[in-house]
Amino acid sequence: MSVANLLSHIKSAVNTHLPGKVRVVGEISNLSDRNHWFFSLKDGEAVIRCVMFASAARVVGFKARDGVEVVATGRVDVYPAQGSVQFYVDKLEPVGQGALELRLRELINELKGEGYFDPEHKQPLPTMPTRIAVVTSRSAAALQDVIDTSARRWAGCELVLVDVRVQGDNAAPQIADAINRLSGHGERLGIDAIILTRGGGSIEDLWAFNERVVADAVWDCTLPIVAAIGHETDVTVAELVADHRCATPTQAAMTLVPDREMLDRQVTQSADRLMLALKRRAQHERQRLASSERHPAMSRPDRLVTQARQSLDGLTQRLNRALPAITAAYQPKLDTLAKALPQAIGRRMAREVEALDALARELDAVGPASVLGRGYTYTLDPNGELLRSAETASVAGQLTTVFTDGRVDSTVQDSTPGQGEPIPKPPPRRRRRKPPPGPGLFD
Amino acid sequence: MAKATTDKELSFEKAIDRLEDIVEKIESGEVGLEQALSQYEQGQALIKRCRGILDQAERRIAELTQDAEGQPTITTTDEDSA
Repeated sequence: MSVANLLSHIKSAVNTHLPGKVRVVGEISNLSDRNHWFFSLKDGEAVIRCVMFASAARVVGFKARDGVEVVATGRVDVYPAQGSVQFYVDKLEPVGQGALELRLRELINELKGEGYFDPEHKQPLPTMPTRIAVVTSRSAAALQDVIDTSARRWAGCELVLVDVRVQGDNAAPQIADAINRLSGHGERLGIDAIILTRGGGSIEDLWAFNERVVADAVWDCTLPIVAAIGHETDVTVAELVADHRCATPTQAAMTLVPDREMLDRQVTQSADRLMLALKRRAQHERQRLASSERHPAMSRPDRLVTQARQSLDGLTQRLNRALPAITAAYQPKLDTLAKALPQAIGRRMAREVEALDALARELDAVGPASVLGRGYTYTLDPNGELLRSAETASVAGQLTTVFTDGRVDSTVQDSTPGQGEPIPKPPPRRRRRKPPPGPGLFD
Repeated sequence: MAKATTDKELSFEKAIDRLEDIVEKIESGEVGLEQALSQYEQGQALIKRCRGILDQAERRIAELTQDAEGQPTITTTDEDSA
């Protein structure tokens, strides 16, 4: 067979056994990366020449250099004219990176499913924090960015550094511990929020911020967390769980630290409004006072009196008109009473007179005139005093006896006490009877 | 406004809120004139307090450390040592 034939066989054999894409692990060497990339991929035992077109090379996400171990994805082809095998690479990754990216995607899905990224769980950021904790490495440029930005915004906002490792094996537990400590003691220490930050790096460098222990710490944290990890295009789990994500540490500080100038303007505005409000108020009161002074009540008080008098007259007239109506209503009643009154008085008088007559008759019955008329006498001593007993009479000597038709003077000759007439009991005095109940005066 | 904190201790935000309150009361004519004057004075005190808070120019950087009992505490550091 000819050489061409031979190469044709080789080519079809390759196309048959390695038809589609292959992924090859090897070390880069002889890299020429001016436009299209030309390099060799080798391991201890073999080497293959590679081509990567500029369009594919542009997307390579790391610094490809001689000696770097990579995973190359592409097609193998045979080039008969040169008798060579060529590996056309369309994707290049450093060894291990692919695995990590896969793992990260898995982690993100897992945590998303568990609700770690739920917007409802995210806390609002404080509007005016006065003390902010910064979790980062003491030597990081990120820290300095935060400090400088904060100073420009408002120097009065205090920053509390919590120094942690931000990459390597120990980093994740340290970061988680720092966040947990702040969560537990933050309120007591007066910390209002946390900035979690570090500078750019590879996916391995940033891996600590993808660990579950950090995700849990961020989720459980009682203080709001603003996370700014790596570059803008880097996504880490911590940033997704955090309450707010910023592209850079500077932006994180801008987001949290209050803007002194804006607040100053707010205070000035309020101060102006306060003064204006008072001025207006004073003016208002002044006007009220002035119009009161102008009011007729103050300037022509006599008018008030006239007005009052007029009101009074009006009321009097109304009263006078109203009076007959009122009296008219009571007229019938008055008439009845007017008639009834003399009648009642007349009846009363009659009763009194009757009682009086009765009394007079009684009096006559017991009075001395009628007694004398029945033949009785009474005797007086020389002093004109009434003598009731024979004993006192005998001592008197001279007596005057009163008869119904005159008096007789006599001298005592002899007295015989104990032979008189005892006084009969007087008839019981008749109590004045109450007049019988009749119609009342005002019935 | 929950607890009655004296105006001297109010945080910036609370002070601004109280200030807004006073301005509204005076503007609306809700309060009598004498009261308006006394509230105006209170307002001026609040403004002074707010400005005082904002004017703190000292850059304050501290660090989270541990106290004698191992409890987290804050230690102020100098600018240079940060």
